[in-house]
Amino acid sequence: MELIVFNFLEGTYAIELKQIKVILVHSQTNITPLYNEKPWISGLINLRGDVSPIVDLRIRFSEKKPSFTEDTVIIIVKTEEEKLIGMVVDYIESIKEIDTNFIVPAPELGIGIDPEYITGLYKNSEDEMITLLDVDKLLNIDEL
Amino acid sequence: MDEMQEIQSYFLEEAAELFENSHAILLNAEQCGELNPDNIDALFRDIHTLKGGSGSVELDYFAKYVHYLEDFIDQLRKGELTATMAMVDFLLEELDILQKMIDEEVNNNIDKDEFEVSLKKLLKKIDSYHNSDTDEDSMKNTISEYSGEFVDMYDSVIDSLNSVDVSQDFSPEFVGSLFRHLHTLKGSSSFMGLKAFPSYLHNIENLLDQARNNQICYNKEFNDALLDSMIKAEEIANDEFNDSLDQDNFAQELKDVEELFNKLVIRCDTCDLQEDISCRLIEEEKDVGFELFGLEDTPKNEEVEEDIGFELFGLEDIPTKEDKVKVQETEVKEEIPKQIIEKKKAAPPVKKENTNSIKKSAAGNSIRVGLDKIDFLMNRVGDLVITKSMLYKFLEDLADKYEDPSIVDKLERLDREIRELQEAVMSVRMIPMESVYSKLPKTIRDLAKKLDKKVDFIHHGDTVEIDKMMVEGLTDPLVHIIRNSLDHGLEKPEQRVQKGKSEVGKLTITAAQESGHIIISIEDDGAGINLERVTQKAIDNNVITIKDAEHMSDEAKAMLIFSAGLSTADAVSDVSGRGVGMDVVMNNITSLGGSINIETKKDKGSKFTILLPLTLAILDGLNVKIGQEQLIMPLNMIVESLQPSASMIKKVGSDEKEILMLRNEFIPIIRLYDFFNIKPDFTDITKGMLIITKITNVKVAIFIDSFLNQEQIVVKSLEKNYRKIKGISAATIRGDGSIGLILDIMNIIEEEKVRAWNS
Repeated sequence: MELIVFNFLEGTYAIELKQIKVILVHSQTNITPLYNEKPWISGLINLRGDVSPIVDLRIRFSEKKPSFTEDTVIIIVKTEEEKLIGMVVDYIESIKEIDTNFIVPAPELGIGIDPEYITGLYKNSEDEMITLLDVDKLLNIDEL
Repeated sequence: MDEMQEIQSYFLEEAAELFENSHAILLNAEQCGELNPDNIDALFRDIHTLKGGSGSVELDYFAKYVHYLEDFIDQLRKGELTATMAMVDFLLEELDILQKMIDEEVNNNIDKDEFEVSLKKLLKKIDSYHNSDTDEDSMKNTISEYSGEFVDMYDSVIDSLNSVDVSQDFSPEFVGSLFRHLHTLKGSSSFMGLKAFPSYLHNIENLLDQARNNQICYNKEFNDALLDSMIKAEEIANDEFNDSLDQDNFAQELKDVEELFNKLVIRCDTCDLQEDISCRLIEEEKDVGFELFGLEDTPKNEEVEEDIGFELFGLEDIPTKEDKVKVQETEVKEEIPKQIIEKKKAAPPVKKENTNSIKKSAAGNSIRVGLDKIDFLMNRVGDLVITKSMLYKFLEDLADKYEDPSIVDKLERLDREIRELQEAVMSVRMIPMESVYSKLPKTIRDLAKKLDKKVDFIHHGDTVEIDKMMVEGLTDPLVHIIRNSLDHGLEKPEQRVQKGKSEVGKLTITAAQESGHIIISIEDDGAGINLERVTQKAIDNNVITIKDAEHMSDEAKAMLIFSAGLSTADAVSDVSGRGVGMDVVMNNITSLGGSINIETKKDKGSKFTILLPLTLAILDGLNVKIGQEQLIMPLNMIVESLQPSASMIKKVGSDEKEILMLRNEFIPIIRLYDFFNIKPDFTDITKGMLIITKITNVKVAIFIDSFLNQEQIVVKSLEKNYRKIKGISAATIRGDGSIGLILDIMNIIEEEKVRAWNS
């Protein structure tokens, strides 16, 4: 399984590479804000002629005001609802080929994000830990 | 496989038309009280086309079912059965079953057991018509008088054909045993003194022989064809036993089976599966050509007769027979190309005549284009509009530096041309309301029958054109409103008479185009909406409070029927009254950017008026500004704009609600910055601007800072990748590539109402 590993709120997360449609640099993207929406909805962007919403994962999972740098990116994924939705993360770490045997179920407590949005934890020999996000749940329209 | 799906989708479109046609024919027959030969002919042609088409797109179950129905109609056509009004009902029901079946089969979720059950039902029903006809006896009874063995043999052939249809085991052993069975059947039937039947079988046998020698491939299609012809053979035997065999008809049948034979040979010799389409084309032409050549081909017939003689004298002389078969076979093969060429030549004029008689409406010079292609075209035009606005923006920036009026002229010309192009593309998507109406009579008839009511359906404005994209969203609401009118509106005949109205209720649908809108009204002359009961129900269901009800106009009370979960039917009926439906109407219409209102009068009836924009794709918008934000207001909802003086603003009620007094009207004011929580430049109404909007007689003044330019915008759905947003109907891409938000005035008014009630 190929993962794209990224970072936000000082944690390392990943989703499957094949779920990704495109990655945009935040500073070069024109986001139109919305009104009366949940705080983590940054707004709408023009994605090749279609309109896509942007979710800031840092606001989604923390009260802290996020910072924006040149590394801040928007990862556009295609969810199981066939919707193209962008998520803002701090930076992209790497693309990694992993052995699915190293994936363990998420513990109920203690990793900051509700286990409901996690498909599992990847732990390799170097004791590095990557949290696998369930984007279909996380970006489900009812959640936004 | 994709290719097949594409062809299937074409067929589905065609099928939908054929179903509609057939419905129309049958409903018409019902109205006239008789199923006349013209009706039957037309029906037969539709069903026949349906069968042919379905077979070629591999909808085998469907094709099989239609086949029996076609047979039945054919019997009506030939006068073997007498058409009765009960049959009209029966046929209408069968059409419903077919429509369901086609859906299921296309989606690959056809239930085989269920299919067999429906098929048995159909055959039983058809049989029952036969039995009520005293002249006709079923074949098996007749034949069993002569020979039980004969029936057994016939059954074993049919059984093995059926079983292999399921198992798909077309092994050489199977073909061999089938051939032997058939051969025995043929032999014994000719000993019994039958002539036509064995000669018919002989043709089938030839075909099988070729299959046995691997000269043609035995596949499912071939098997189906055999099954079909065996069933025909049964009819022939039956006729022959009853001495009612029509010689001309029989010649036709013989030709048919030979034709089938030819077709299958062509299929295997000259075309692979990929060439299926072209092959089908040839076949179609052949079909037409064939009718032309019809029965003149007597020499062939004689040859068959000779064969029978030959058979009778030397049944066991197999080597000679095989020789003979081979000779015949080569003849056929040589003949085919010639036939095709001849028939191709002959085909065009015949075809023309045919289409003229079958469907006059299709006589126009038209092609069928996929909606996605038009959408693509529309999107490109949309992009062009966006590019144009980019160019405008760029030139605006330049204009400060250079002043050249000629460039403005040229831009205006470009603008005009793009508009024309866009209108032209739009017009391709427009279809007449007729296509919306045509689905309704069937629904109305079924409902009226179920509810024991009598209704006259009248429609006007058949030629008014509507965006094809809109039709899908419109059909459901229309059906819901009609259901509602029939169920709750129109009274039962007795009640109507008591009220001094005609026994037959009236349901009128009118469509008209008016100043950039389509207005559709659905009117009935029933009991009207019981406003007290609706209001009471709304209070009971906490939709409104008693206090609200006191202030509400009759019109507003009537609109309560669109609230979710409100049904006033005393008992939940089969038809409507589950409390879902009418709120769907509201949702669908608003999502189309339209609005709806109701007029109702006790015992006089109700009238629903739906107001829709002409198109969903492009609209003229006005850019409005609040603080740093820019929003787009659809131009077609704007009546006027003004900067009010302090004296025009009145504060009413305990909550000091602001009202604009304009001429003699009182218009409620909505502060848009409040609605969207935007920081405005002005909070003082006299400093900013009021835009008066109007939706179905309701006027509202929207307060903004100022308005900017007016422009043509391309509508992009929010729901494609996101969901509905409060107060925003859709988005667009602006000249600089950013997103612009289009205001949903209707929704803003609704939300404001909710907000006012809650506070």
